[in-house]
Amino acid sequence: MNKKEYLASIYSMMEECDADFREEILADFNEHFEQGKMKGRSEEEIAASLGDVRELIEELKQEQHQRSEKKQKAKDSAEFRRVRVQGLTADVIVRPSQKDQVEYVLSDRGAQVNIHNYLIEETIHGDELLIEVKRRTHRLFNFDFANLILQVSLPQTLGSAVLQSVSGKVDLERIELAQLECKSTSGAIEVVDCSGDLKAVTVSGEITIQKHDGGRLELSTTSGDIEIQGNDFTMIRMNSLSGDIEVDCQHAEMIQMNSLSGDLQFQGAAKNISGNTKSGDVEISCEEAEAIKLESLSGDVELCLPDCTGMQCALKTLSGDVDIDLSQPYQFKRNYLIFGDESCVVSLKTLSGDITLRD
Amino acid sequence: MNTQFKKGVLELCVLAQLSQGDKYGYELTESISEKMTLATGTLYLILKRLKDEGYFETYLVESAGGPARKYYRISEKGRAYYRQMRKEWYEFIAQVDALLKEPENHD
Repeated sequence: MNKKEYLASIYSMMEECDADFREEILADFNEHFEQGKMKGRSEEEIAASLGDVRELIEELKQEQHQRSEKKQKAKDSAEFRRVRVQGLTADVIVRPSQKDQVEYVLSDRGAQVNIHNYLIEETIHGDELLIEVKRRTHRLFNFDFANLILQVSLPQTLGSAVLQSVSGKVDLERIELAQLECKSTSGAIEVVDCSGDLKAVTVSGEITIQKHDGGRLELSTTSGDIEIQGNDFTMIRMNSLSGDIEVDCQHAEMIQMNSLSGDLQFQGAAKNISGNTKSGDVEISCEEAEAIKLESLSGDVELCLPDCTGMQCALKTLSGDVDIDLSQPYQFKRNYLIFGDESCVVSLKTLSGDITLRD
Repeated sequence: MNTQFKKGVLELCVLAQLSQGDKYGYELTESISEKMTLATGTLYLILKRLKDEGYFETYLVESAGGPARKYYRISEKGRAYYRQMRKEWYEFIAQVDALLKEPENHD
């Protein structure tokens, strides 16, 4: 093969590539031939030593393709209704977009070196935009020193978003979408000043929600704590295995708290509260309540009902004490403590813990 | 040998060569192919990729009686990347070496 034939074969491999890319590679090879000829080598010799480069060209083409795709998609954010972000080891930081566009940038807190072991891939499936952090395949070895942050801006015109990380945290602020979903394995989930329905799942990370407005919340952790502060919830359902649960809310229709060994705490106003823990304590202070059901196996159960107009309350403890401190006269009818208009239905149970009821 | 692996190693070789001083393409392929058997054309694609990542800068120098030579210069980012890769490489070969060694008193 002579120079002309060799360059033609490379050219044909790069036909779909950007002109700039193609020209640069061809110029490099052309220069190589010229320098080699000046050293007295034949075109055939040079072509043979350059060898077959098809495989590498294919890989470069793919990388190029990903790069050009990224530029386009960021512009056309009207094409999709949902966004899914997979941050892998990166922290996922989500803020509202000022431009009605989905934008994102991956950076590294520590050595800038590590970031080159990762790339971002962007694809559209139906009405969903998927943004994924991936490890590059050409890395030498699987060392992971990266301390990555994926910053994403979301327009408020989106319908829903799913934000995921494996070892990073998921951090949302001022996002007002109808539906949000956050997942992390070992990272924390922090949602501040957002609104709408929210699902959050972590294994060992904590879930913290502040100034949340409205919607249905479903939160679950294995060993992390759950802390919520907000108002006007339709429903909050929380599950944790060993983490504590703490809720402070202005108004909620329904609150469900379940933990195996964690404590449960609620302060605020809710119509319907249920709390269940095996070895944790339960401490509830609730206004506007219509139905309350609290259970612990070995923990104490404490309920405070300020401004309560009346209740019928079932109280059960096997080996603990019962301490009642109500400002109104009450009586026991069958197994129920009764006073006032009996409008609030309460059930308090513990096996070996104490029960406290006050207003 | 696995291409991905080989490409990683070639990246390391290119970074090592350029960390010793600026070189133009032909010069670089010569110095690497002296020590190692390979299709030298792959080096140009590795150079292009590393350049696009910002590890190298290029500049042209006129040469007497031939076309201008494109020189490659390693950037600060490239040096940092090279240090990291080199560290990983030494750790890796030490591990492989330990595995390849026959136990001394083997029955």
